[in-house]
Amino acid sequence: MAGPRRILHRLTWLGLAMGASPSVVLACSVCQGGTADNRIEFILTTALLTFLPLGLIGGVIFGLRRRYLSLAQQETRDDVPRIPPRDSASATL
Amino acid sequence: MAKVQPLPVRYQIVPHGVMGMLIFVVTEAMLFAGLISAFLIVKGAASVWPPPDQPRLPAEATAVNTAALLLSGAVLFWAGRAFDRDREAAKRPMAAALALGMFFVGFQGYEWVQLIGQGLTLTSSTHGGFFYLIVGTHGLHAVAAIAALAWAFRGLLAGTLTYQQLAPVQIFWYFVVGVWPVLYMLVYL
Repeated sequence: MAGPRRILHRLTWLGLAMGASPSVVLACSVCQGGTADNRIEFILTTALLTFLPLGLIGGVIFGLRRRYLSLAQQETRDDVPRIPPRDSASATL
Repeated sequence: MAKVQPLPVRYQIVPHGVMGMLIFVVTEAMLFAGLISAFLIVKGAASVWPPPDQPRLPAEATAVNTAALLLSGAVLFWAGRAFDRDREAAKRPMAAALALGMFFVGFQGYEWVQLIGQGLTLTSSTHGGFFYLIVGTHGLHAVAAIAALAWAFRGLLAGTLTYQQLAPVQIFWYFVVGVWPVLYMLVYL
């Protein structure tokens, strides 16, 4: 059997084995023995740690894009040279 | 004759210091998110929080301290606006922001001394451990931000401070100010 097919074959069997015993592969460390509050906190903080970096990075990219569009619009309006000097005022916030 | 293609134009959208500080602040936000996450899970597992045998945290006094820190953020914003128009006008608000920041850290130190005297230590309970870890991490950031602010203020007095230098310091201070109310609500209330 070829290499990639053999890996796929093994992964399929591993997936089936994991599906047959979900308690063994459960990622939630408090879902089995924790209290209800504990479970809710775990889920909420998992969501926080998942979405916070996406939101922060997305926010930075959104802010930079808005700043770029604002500069480009200003440049068109003012008819200033296309290549601003490195220490120009347009390089500031 | 082949047509000459113009070189692509590169804009500096924000100063390099601002970009670096934004990346740093994002990583620091994740540090605090991790600490908050661990704290909330441990707090959720406890039947009573804070533990009955542990001293209560001074929520009212710290609310005043929180107001001082928020005010320092607002005053620094005002200083930044003043800096754009007239650098001389930025001196007083920046000095006020620095003084308020130092008051915040000094008050936190006084509060810690009181709490240690009452028996709340790093090893007295998970409550104490998380309190000193989370509030201490924020305190370290506040001290670093005050040092940066003092450096910027010195430059302002000497007339050498540029906007490219001030903007990253402002961002760092806004982060220190902005994260504190979240920590206060979670840890103290």
